[in-house]
Formats: sequence, structure tokens, C-alpha cells
Amino acid sequence: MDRPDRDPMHFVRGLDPALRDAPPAQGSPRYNAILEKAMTQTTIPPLATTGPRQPKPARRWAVAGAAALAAAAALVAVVAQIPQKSPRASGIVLAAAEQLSDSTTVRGHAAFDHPGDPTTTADIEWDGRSSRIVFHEAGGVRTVTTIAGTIYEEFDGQIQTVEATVANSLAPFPKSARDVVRAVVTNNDVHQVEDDHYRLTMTDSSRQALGGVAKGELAWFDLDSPEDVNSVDIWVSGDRLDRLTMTGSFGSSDMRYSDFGAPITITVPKK
Amino acid sequence: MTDEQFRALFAENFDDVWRFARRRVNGAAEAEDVAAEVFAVAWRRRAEIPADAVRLWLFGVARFVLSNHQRESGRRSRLMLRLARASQEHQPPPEVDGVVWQSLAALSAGDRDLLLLRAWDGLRVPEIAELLGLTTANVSSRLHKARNRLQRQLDRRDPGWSGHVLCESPGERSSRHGPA
Repeated sequence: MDRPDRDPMHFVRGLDPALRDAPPAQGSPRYNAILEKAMTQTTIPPLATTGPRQPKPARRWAVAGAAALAAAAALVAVVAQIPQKSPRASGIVLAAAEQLSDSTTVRGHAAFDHPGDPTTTADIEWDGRSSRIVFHEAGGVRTVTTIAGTIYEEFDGQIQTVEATVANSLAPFPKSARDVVRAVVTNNDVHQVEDDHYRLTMTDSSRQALGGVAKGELAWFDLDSPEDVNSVDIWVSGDRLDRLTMTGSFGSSDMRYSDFGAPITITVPKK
Repeated sequence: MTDEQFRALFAENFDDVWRFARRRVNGAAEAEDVAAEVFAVAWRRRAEIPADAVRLWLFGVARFVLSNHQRESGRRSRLMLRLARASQEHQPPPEVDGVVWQSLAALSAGDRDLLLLRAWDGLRVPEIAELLGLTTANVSSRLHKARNRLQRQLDRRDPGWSGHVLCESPGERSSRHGPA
């Protein structure tokens, strides 16, 4: 039988943020305000869970048939322009992502475009355990170094430090790309656009799968709403994924990988 | 449900709902906002609250509220910067072992959700199953696997962590990790 001090759950329990904060006390002004505000809400009638289903409206087969014919004609006209769907494409992309994930060290260059925001670029170094990200933002250069469980943020000559937590930790850099690719490619069609360029148009299932990827992995792509992604493009060089872009209503995220296995040294920033 | 009955329900469950929220947001003020929204929904839908599973029903609402809340926070502050930047709100107390935090962070969101529902919220397997809409057997199996994955993450980061971290003094821990 496990000793309590060998049970990982024992340690997890000790991290509970609610052990260090307390809710507003009963009878306190804040407690009463929350209760009174809740009780001023308008009542919504219960959702109907039983009862006969409404009959579906009759389909207009004639219209549908005409639409189908028109669609077929349009399809013939444009079929030559559709990128070729390759049965091997999914396998190539997945293998390339695995190859990237096996990198012991890697550098990256990212460009994030979001509607209404200036473009942010970032230069990334990852040495297998630690990372350094240099953000080039409209307001200046900001460097974030994560090393040995501590995050150092340098901006405007100042360094702030904070311990890494579940909420603020990034996942391993190359593994994050692999997990994104695995999520969106599995059970979905990948088209080969060019020799080294593959594209996946997102479907409900791939969006759902992307939503299951850890937040600390999606964060590398500055992506917080997987449902807003419309397409994922992947470039492969020498059997290894070296570029991954995501585009959609959120804007775009473009990540390029390089210097696989190169010597990278990340050190604690000095004041 | 009468006003008086709702007040009793609030009194009985407010702390639990607040704690459920606090474990998933950055600070006490955010937890209050989430709890307030949960009870606002509860009042509006008070006719639907199952008398035999009030707390779980409220937790289910809280999960939905938190999901929307996090999406809106994400819109306000871009995720990568928010995650990577230092923030005093995120700063854990000094006794927290960074290795455990990092190991939890490396797990999938699904694994982490299960482990925290068990470890932090103290929910039993059938309760987690009901909350997530899964079978008890499924939750039991997934919890087991998640726990093993957490163990592997801990071992990978610090092969000597098990059985030592709690027993050693801070000085011993420093020497094991080498100079900073």
C-alpha cells in the first residue's frame, strides 16, 4: 500500500488555492450583496424535456434537386483547382510532427496577428527543459525566461520573477506542435497543396479535438479559442515539421521551427 | 422553491461553490464573480435544481460559467502573454513545490480536470461521473491513468521526488537540486 507521502495526489491536495483564501463570511456585506443580486434575476421557465417532437418541415425536394445539379456543375468547373487529397498526407504530417517533437533543442520564430492589434513577433529558444521567448511588441521588447520552475520577465530594464504554476506554465515547445497536429489531423483529411505544404480545413471534430489540447500547449500559438480556427497549414522539410500556421476569425498564428538539436544555453537573466 | 428555501440553499452551498471557482481562477475577487453568476443562474432555474444533488448541479453550472469566463478573459488578454508573463496574482505561496505544479501543467486538460476534481474538490468517483456525464467505470479508469501520468511527469522532472520531498529539509532539497 502506498504511503501517503508517495501518493502524488497528496501533493496535489496541498496546492489547493482555496486553502489559502476564504469566501466572504456569511452575513458580510459582500455575501449579502451576492445573494440579493442573484434573487433579483428573472426566472426562466424549465426547459421542456419531454413531450412529442415537432414534425420536421417537409423537404423541398425539387429545390434541393436543382441545387444539387447546380452544385454538381460548379464542382466540375472547379475540381481542377482543388488541392489534391493524398491518402499518405496525414501519415506524412503526423510523422513530421513526431520528428519535431523528438528534437532535443529547437528555436522558433512566431508571428501573431489578431484583428485590431499590432502584429507581435517572438523569437523562441527551447533547450529541452527551459525556454526563452523574446516578444517584439508595439510597446518594446519583452523577454520571458522560464527556467527551473521560475518565470523571469524582463521589460524596460526591470526583471520580475514568479514561480511557475499550472496557470502560467507553457508546455514543452516542440511537443506542443506535435499535440496540435495529432489533434487536428487524426480522423480528418489533409490535402497536399505543394510538395512540402499540407493543409487541413477544420471540421467540428477537429475543432473539438483541438479544444482538448492543453492550454499550455495552445499558448505557444497564442490560441485561446480553438473553435475560431478555420485552417491549419503545415510545412515539412526533410521529414520534419518546420512550420505550422493557424488561421481563422481570431487572426493568424505562424510558427517556424529551426536549429533542431543545436546547442542552446538558457540562463537566469541578470539584473 | 420559496425565497426562504433558496436562501437556505445559498447558505448551505455558497462556500463550496466559491471554493470550486477559486480553484479555477486567479484570485478571490474573480471567484466571487463566478459564484455570484452561478447563484444568479440557480435562482433563475431554481425549479430545475434536483433536491438530491444540489451541490453537483451547482458545480455543473459553475463549470459552464467558468468556461465562458475564461473565454472572455482570453479575449481581454492574449493567452500566450498571459500565461508566460509574471503576475503577482499567479504567485503561489513559497511552500508550493514547483515540480508538482509543472507536472500538473504538463498533463492534458482532461487529466488535470479529473485529478483536481478528486484532489481539490474532494468529489467521489460517482460524483465526478455525474458532473462530467461519464460512466463511473470510465471515470475510475481515466482517473487511474491520469494519476499514473502525473506520477510519470513527477518522476521525469525529479526522479527522487517520491518519498523525499516531504521528509527533507529545505537545505537538503537545495543541495539535491544543485546550486541555482
